Amino acid sequence: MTRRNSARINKMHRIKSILILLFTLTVLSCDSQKIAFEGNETGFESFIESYNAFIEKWLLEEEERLSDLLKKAEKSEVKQLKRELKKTQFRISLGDFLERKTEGDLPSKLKWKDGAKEKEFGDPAALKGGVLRSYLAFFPNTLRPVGPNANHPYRDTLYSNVQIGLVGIHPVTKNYIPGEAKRWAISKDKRTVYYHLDPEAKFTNGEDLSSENYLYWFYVRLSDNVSNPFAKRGVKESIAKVTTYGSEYISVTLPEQQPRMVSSAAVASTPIEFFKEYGADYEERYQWRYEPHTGPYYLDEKDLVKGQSIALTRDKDWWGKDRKFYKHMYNVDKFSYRLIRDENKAYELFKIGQIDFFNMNRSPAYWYEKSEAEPFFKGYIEKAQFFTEYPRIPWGVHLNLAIPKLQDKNFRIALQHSMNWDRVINSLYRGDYNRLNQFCEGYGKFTNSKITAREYSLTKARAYFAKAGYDTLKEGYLTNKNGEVASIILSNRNTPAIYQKMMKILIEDAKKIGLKVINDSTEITVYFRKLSGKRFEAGYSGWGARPPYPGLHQFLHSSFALDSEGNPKPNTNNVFTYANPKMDKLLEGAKFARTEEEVLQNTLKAQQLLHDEAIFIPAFKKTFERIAYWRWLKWPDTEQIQFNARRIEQPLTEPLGLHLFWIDPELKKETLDAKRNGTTFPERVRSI
Amino acid sequence: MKGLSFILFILGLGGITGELLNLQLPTMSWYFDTSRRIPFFNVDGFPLSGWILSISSVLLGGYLFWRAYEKVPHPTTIRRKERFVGIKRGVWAMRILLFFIFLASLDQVLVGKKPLVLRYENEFYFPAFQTEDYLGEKFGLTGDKALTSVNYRELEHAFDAETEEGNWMLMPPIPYAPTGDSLPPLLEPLERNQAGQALLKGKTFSGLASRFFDKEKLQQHLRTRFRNGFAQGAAEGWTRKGDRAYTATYEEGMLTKDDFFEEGEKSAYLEETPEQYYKIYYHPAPPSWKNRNLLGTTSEGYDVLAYLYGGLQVNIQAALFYIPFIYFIGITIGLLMGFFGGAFDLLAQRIIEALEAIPFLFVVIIISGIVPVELKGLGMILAILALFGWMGMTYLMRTAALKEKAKDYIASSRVIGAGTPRILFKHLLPNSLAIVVTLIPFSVSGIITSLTSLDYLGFGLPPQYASWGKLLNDGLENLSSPWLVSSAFIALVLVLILVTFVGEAVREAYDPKKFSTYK
Repeated sequence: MTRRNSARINKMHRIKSILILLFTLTVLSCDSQKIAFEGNETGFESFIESYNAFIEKWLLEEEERLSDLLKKAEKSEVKQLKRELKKTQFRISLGDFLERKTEGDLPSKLKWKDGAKEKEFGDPAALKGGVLRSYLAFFPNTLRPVGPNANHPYRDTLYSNVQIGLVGIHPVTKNYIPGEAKRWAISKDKRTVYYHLDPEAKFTNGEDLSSENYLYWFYVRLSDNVSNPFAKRGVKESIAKVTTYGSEYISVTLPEQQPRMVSSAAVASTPIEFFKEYGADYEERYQWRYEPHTGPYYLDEKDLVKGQSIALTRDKDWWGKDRKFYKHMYNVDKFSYRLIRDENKAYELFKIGQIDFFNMNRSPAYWYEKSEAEPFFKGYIEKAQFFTEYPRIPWGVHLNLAIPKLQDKNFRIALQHSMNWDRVINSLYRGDYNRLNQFCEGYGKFTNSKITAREYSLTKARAYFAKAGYDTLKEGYLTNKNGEVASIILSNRNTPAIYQKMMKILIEDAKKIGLKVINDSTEITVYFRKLSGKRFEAGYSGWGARPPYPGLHQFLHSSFALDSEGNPKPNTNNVFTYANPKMDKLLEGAKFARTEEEVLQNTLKAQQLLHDEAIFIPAFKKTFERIAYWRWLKWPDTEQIQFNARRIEQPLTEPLGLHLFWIDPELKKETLDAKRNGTTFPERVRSI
Repeated sequence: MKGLSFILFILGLGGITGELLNLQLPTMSWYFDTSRRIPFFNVDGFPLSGWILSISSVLLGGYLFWRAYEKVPHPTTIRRKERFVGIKRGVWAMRILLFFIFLASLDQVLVGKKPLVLRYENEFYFPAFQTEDYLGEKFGLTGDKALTSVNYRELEHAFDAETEEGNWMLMPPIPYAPTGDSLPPLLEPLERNQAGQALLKGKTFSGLASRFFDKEKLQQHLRTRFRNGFAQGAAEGWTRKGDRAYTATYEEGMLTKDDFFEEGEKSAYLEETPEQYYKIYYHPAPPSWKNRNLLGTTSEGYDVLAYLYGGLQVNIQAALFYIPFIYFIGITIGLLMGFFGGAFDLLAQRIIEALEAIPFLFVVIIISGIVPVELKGLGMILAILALFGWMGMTYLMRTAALKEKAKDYIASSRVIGAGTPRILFKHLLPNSLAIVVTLIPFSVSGIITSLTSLDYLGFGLPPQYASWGKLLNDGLENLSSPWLVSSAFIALVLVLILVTFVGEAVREAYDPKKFSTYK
């Protein structure tokens, strides 16, 4: 589930959000207890020592555990275990996890790359300046990027979208471009990535960037002073070693070779000066302090009015402002956000020009009826719909194999034929959406294009139900010889409202076939707990996914399905409770692949198997994004990018996340004058 | 009393008859329907509670009927009745309410998607009153439609189109079910005038209009934006498979740019469907006499009038169950508190205080989260409401009992040798009841508002129930569709005003003073 999506704020009252917070807190605190690292350190230096010791101890335990397992292992597991063991032994051979070396220690024959061949993508016509006015549907409870309450929907707005990483990714070619590092290299054994930091890079508080800042990140984010379970676990398992070479170089070693290593090894940096008061009370002390980063926007203290508004200001002397890829990015002087809880109110404010743009993806009604209004007719507000190649969020129904009747494949196939998604698309989404064919669409060649979704068909559904034993029609429903009615409880969340309309269509059309679909629609947090706790029969939702490869492992691997006692394992993403050794092999093959070719071969087969097993009923995909904006907001139109990149990783925050747009002050004046005088411009709806 | 007992008797008897003959009788089948729907109330599909309720309903009705003839009413009762009848406003409100209840009990005779009478090939069918669901093949439908339940509205159109006479049906006055019967989006064809402008119902058309591959499945071929009757701006086209295949731009009706990006010839593609555009009314659609949606449709595609009717039924059912239940508990506990006093009184007071301190909305949210979906429904909500609803009148009853028990007639009856039950039921209860009776109508309006507000907030009834709260919420989200919010508002206000009028009249009738002045 994209967290942003799931946390999309609706206007339900505060009680709900309090409950959500309560639940998140309990989840987080449970997690952190499990993997707590207890260094009892007092400062940065002692942290490095104790963390190194902690990792070493864990690795030795791991080695022992794996060797024990290997002794008892069945034949099919041996290969995987050996590989794990080899990984662990390699990590042990590396020595300290965090280590400082001098520049002279750098390997000599590194092949440096700097992304110079990539084409510029910003529009040279872009003008700097102006204030972009937007809104927050709820006010963040903290400004910290980590710790309790930090995982709110606006964390990307405040941090990720304005930060710069070690390397950037070209929005069109998806190759690497310089970021904090001006060049990078991969070692001969293809396990270590070296980064040469940009010597001019600075934090927004004026502090110079050096390799120490990367080691400091580990201290600030992983010490016991902060609860940050996901990073704590992620770092421990996926990074093998971080080394600094003097102040300008760092290297990151991964446990194994991986495709796209440069970005997976890119660790983050934190300022040192800002954290001088860092300690056990971090979570309280830093509650309302905006953490400096190396990106172009900072938070001026006077721009934070708690519970009302927040604004980010552009650093006019930003160190990266003349760099090739960044000189036409980050054009707006200020992002100003005010709190407007009610979406309808925000839309009204948008229409009178107090907000500059509005995300029209929420429901088709915005795009059609709600924009049949004067500012649109008069051409003050323009609408744009741009088609994307990515993402294709896999919306659909997940079937839980822990339920006995769903273990019958015929029953599952019958369910696939009983859901009329075409009617949902045509009558609810106005024919704008397309039927999703399978779980992993939108990954280019990594998508198995031979798979097509099973269509709604009375005859086919009845035939499969008959095979599953449901062959007599009684009071409108199919029943089997024990008198049991063919039925399924379809769990879903009760917001947004359009879901309920969707459920009604599905229920009515399933009834025509003779299937009883029971709608179990609950509050969002309750629904997620049901889903991840595997206490459901069928669940409708969509997952956020990240390119470039389909990530099926977390959804289908048997290790996430059942615990040692054979009960469904709670809190994993394998909501299907699906376990199949054949699938495991393919998934591991794709996940731990050393080359793209390996990924490709395994993932295509895994997708076919997933389709054959019929445990996921694909619903629909959206192939476009929609936005409405006042006409002074201008968008890039270059050879590389028209309006916005086609491959979008974060549909809800982009197109703004790319920062390629700008505000044209003359157009703004012209439009405001026209609004006052009543003159009009041609109505404009763009389709790109 | 006579009327009530008669109704109970008929209800029970009708229910049993319907069950035995496999008939679906309006309202009377309700005992058995509920029993089948709620897991607790049936044993492996056998409607146990249905049988128990209907048999007890027959017995209770018969007993009350017999008693009503036996017993002469008390003079005070007669006086109160006379005073009530004297208050014209209350009496009329009462009559209108009873009429509404009568309408609501007509159920599928008045509102429903199955015809009352159907004649096909010289045979008569009564689908609305039969539990059996006919398949399409029975009425000569073919293809997929032959194998599934009949959509009678479509069948009616088919009958109308047939040349042969003899097949006909009589639909209920409102031919839509309150829920579970969503309509497809409505299509309205556009016409052209001599200037080539597109017209909708005689006026130049502005908005989106489409051409279809398949109107029934709503499969669009081309969609064009019109302004003042001329194509203007972007147009889009799709293939039969639903892939995007064509884009075009129009300026004042003239094509300025177009692009076809699928295999084949562009001209052949454009001629795949006839040059007839339709305006699509997605739901909520405005009232339309032609489609028999007199008050329009909801955003789920239900007929608003049918939905209001369903909501009325739910409200009446809720009141009929909730009121007796909470009054029974409240009066019993209040009376006992007042009569016995002492430790029982103290304990009950503390329990009531504890219950009153629990935030009601939280309980509803939590319970709606844990309860399994099969148990959700009117019964569940009423149980929660009842749990928190009975405390109000306990203190009133307690006061009344305290006051009455100190009076001489209680003392004298005790001297005569009357036992506690006799004092409670014969003397205390009838004499202290007057206070509580006047509250009943206000409890009715209370339960209606509670249900409405819970539904409005989204914690109320599951979607298979029609509800005014949900309609109100729908209306506020779609303020541009005024028929939603106005019909929900008018229905709610009307019923609440009527109930309040009745309540005031009852209060007046029970007032021991002939004339009272308000300060």
